[in-house]
Parts: sequence; structure tokens; C-alpha cells
Amino acid sequence: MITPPQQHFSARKYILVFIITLGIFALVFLFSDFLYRTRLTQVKSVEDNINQNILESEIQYALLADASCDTDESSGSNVLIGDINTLAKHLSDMENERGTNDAEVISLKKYYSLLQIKDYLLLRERAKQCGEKPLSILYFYSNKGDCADCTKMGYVLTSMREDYDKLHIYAFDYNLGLSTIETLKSLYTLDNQLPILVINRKPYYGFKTREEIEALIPELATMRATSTSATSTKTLPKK
Amino acid sequence: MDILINIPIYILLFSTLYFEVFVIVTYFEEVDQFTLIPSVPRDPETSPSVTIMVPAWNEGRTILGTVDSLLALDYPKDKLSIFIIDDGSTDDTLQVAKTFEHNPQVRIFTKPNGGKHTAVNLGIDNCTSELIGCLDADSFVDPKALQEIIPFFDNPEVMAVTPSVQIWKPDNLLRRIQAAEYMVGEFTRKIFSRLNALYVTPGPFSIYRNEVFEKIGKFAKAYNTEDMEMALRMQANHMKIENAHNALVFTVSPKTIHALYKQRVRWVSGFLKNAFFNYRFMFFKREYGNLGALTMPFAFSSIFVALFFYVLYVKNIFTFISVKYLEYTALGFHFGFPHGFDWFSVNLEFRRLIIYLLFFCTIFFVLMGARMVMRKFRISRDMLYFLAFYGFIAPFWLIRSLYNLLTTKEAHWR
Repeated sequence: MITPPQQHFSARKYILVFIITLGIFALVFLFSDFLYRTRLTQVKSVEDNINQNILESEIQYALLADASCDTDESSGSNVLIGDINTLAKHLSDMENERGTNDAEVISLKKYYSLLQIKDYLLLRERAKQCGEKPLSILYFYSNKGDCADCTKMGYVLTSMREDYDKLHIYAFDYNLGLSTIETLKSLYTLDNQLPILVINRKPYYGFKTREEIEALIPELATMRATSTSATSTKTLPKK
Repeated sequence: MDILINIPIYILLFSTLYFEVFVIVTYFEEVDQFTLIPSVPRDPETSPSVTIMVPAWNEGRTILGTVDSLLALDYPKDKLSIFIIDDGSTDDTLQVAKTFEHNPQVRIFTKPNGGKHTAVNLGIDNCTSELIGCLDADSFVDPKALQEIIPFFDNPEVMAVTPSVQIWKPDNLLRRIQAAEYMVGEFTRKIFSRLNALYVTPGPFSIYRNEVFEKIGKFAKAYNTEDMEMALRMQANHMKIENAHNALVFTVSPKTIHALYKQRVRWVSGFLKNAFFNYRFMFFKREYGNLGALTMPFAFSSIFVALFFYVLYVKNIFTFISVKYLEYTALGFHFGFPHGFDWFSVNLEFRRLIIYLLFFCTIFFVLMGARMVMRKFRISRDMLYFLAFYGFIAPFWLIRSLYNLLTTKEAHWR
């Protein structure tokens, strides 16, 4: 049955719809906040996990001293590198979503930077104890808009992280205002010409291609050869 | 600085969500009016007399089908007249029209070219029936269309009834996008009619009481959007306009992007100019009901909303391309292995969530429109094309229409 259309302006309906819309806005806001808190908790949990791993490794080295050199470096460290990489990606995603000025993201980044430095020190300690050469890159970047090549440099290092599981890459926000980062800057006498890579304690300024970095760390060539050989063996047909 | 950018964005998102909630609330209030059951055939004795005018300018290719579809209407022959009005065509429109000259239902008029409104007005001058309709010479009616429209005139307050206009045989991407767009359009038109807030009586097969023209005058040029201006004039005079969603009318839509662009610039420019120059007194006035309070202001502001979303859309595409370009300059062609879904990479920030919500509302409108036209809930290719591409092409005519409004430049028919 056809009924006449709603005749008049109904202020009641307009107010009701306003309240519903406001309610939806509030719910979406709360939901968004809930998701953000969940992500924060997850990031904090990864950070705690890394912290615990580092502590375990420190204790292990202290207890076993030289004997710990017999253990495969990759076994425990890979988990740690994996966790640090995950943390780096999550922090980058959160930074994209919340902006670079978000207080919580900055706080998490500071803690992440400290964890990286702890891992770096641990790596150097092990290298010293075991007479190995640490495979590490310290990368200093800025996301304040004053480093045109930092994004590109990030892509190169991310791809290297994926390909070389024993390569430790530590990324530091040059402008984070963390005293330990300032110490690293003065330790390696860094100028403000970003991006900066520190390889074997020597700083390199400006964008570097993957090939250029590989040339600076010759050990990577053998790692790649081993990896390629392993892959080839895997693909051999069975008799 | 962030506040200066964010506050307008929040207002825009809130007002868009408000409008969509209003539409959804109205739908659930009026859900029984969205029935798909066809109307019961009337006793011919009680059927009012109807004249359908077919104004035509260089429509020789389509007018035959248009008139044939009118002659096939399921309506008493003695109550239905058809006026073919040749508006000074330079093609064979008049010759084709003359093939109907021996049909007692058909009268043929010809006049020097003066624009669609002059052709329709000539028909009104010669018309004595109770109801007067108009059908563009590039449109075709479903045989039951008039039977679906007439019952709405049982309410003496209803002065005009609009049909459900759909696309005739969509055969390319552009027409498929328009097909889904027209389905959404039918859903919103029905909602607006329930709010007594329609501001267009489309050229294809809108039917008026004869007395409308006696009371408020005939069609005006109105920036080449006479159907829009007539609806606004009726609303300004508190005349009710209904929508018969089961009355299907099909129109041949623009096939090329250029033709579509010209058509839409004419429509949007016409709306903006009519609304802004002649009917802005109705904005935010309670005496004009939901039209003044909601649909007209929103239709006006929706142009800016659409442009906002367009900027966002283009920005995202640009960001994606620049990221890929940077990746290429950094690594060359490097294909890393995908690491599976990571929910951290999905942006779930508040404004994004509201935009996702608005997108779901649009999908709901598309589905409701499809239900009304295709008689079932169905996800079609047309809908996917509409959702993927419409937001990308529409801003071009919106920007041009805004330019026309600011420069008072006129948009032409063809």
C-alpha cells in the first residue's frame, strides 16, 4: 500500500540521527584506540622478548666465556634478529599511521634503539671473545624531511636484511634525542650528512647501492655463495 | 597547522556519515514502501487520461523505438495520447515520426529549434489530459511503467511521479559504471521521495498533473536542466513529488567518456546554478522540509566531499607509485617474497576507519539499488566497476561544473 511521504521537517529525527552518528563516531574512535593499544601491547611484548633474549645471551657468554664460541652464532641470534626486524617493521607502520611526533611511538623507538645498541655490544663482545669479525651496519637516518635518500637507503638495507641472515643492521633515528645515540655519533665523529652507514667503525655518507655495501663487507660474498649453493643442492632432483 | 587541516576533515567525515545514517534510518522507517510486488491492474474506467510528449532534436536513430515502447504500454488506448514534437531537427527525425501519423494515439508537431523546454511547452499548450508526461527520444518504457505510476496519483496531494530510470543495454565499461550508478540513484531517489525531498523530475517519463503547469507555469530553459528546475519550482510551491520505483524506464547512456563528461557537466552545472542562483532561499529553511534542511544542502556540499575523497584517492595512488619508483631506483627490479598478511601494515587510524565505514555504506546503497532494479540482491560486474572507477572519473565533471558556476559559463546539450 502506498502511503504519503513524510510530510514535514522532523527535528526529532534530525536530533536522533545526530545522536546515532555521534555514537558511531565515538564507537569507531574507541575501536581505533583499542586497536592502537593492542598494537602497542604487541610491540612492547616483542621488546620485552628481545630484552630477555639479550640478557640470556649476555649471561651465556659470561658463564661459558670462550666455550660459547663453539655454539653456532646463528641459532640464538637469528631469533633475535628476526624479533628486531619485526619490531622495526611494526614501529615503521605505527609511525606511518600515527605520525612521527606521536609520544608513544617515540618512546617505543627510544627503547628499540637501546635494545639495538645492547645487541650491537653483545655482537662485538662475542666477536672479541671468539676472534670473529662482527657483520654489522649502523644506519643513521632522519624522517624530518631533511634526508631525501633515507627512504631509498631503507629499501636497500631491508632487502639485505632479508637476504643475509647473519648480517646485523641497526637503524637509528638521527634526531631521536637519545643520549646513547649522541654517544654513538661522537664515538664515530659523525657529520649531519644523512644517510650515514657505519661499517667496520668507519662512517660512509650518502646513499649507497647494495653492490657498494657488499663491496665494503667482503664476507657477504661467501655468505651469498653458501646460500646459493645450499639452494642449488635443495633443487637437485632425487635419484 | 594540523588542527587547521584536521578540523575540516572531521566535519566533512561527520556530515557525510550523518547523511548516510539519515538515509539508512529512513530506509528502515519506510522499508514497507520498498516492496517489489507489482501494482494491481486498474479498471480502465478509473484510469486517468495521459499525454506523453516526446520532444526530439536529431533523434532519428532512436525515436522509433521510443514511440514503439509508448504504444506498447499496458494502458487503455483511449486514455493515452502521444505527442511527438520535432524541435527543428536537421536529420530524419520528422520523417521517422511521420511513420506514426496514421495512428490515432499519436500527434506530430514540428517547430523551429528552440530548445527542449520550448518543445515540451508546445505540447503542454495542446494538451487537455489529466496527466502529462515526457519521454526523451533516447529512452524506452517498460510496458507496465505507467500502470506502476498511476496509483500514486490516487493521493490528491501528489503532483508529479518519477520512475526508476535505468541504463539501456550497458555494453561497455563506461555504460556498466553508469548502470550501477543509476541503480544507486534509484535507491536514493526513493529515499528522497519518502522524505518529500526530490529535486529532479527526470526527463525520461516523469508524469505531472496538468494543473501543475497552470499553477506554477511551464518549463523554463534553466541552464539546460529544465527537469531539475521544474522539480525545484514545485518544491518551492510545496507540491509533492513521488517515486514509483517499480516503473522501469530505460535510457541510452553516453558511450564515450567525452559524451558522458558533457552530459554530467550540464547536469551538475545546472543543479549548482539553479540551486545557487534561483533557489538558495530554500537552503536550511524548515518550511521546505527535508529538501531545504538535508537533501539540497547535502547535494551541494557533496561535490566538495567527492573532491575531498578524490584528492585522498589520488594521493594514495601517487604515494603507491612513488614508493614503487623509489624501490626501483634503490634496488632495480627486485622481487622479495611476500611475508603473508601482517595486520600492522593495515592503517586502522580513526579517520581511515570512518572512510572504510562510509565505503561499506556505499556498498549497501549499491546492493539496495540492485535489489530494486534487478529484483534480487546480486553482486554484478557493473557494481565492481562502479566502486573501482566512478570516484576516479566523476571529479573531472565536478571540477568543471564548479568552474562553470564561478564563471557563470553555460553547459551545452551536445
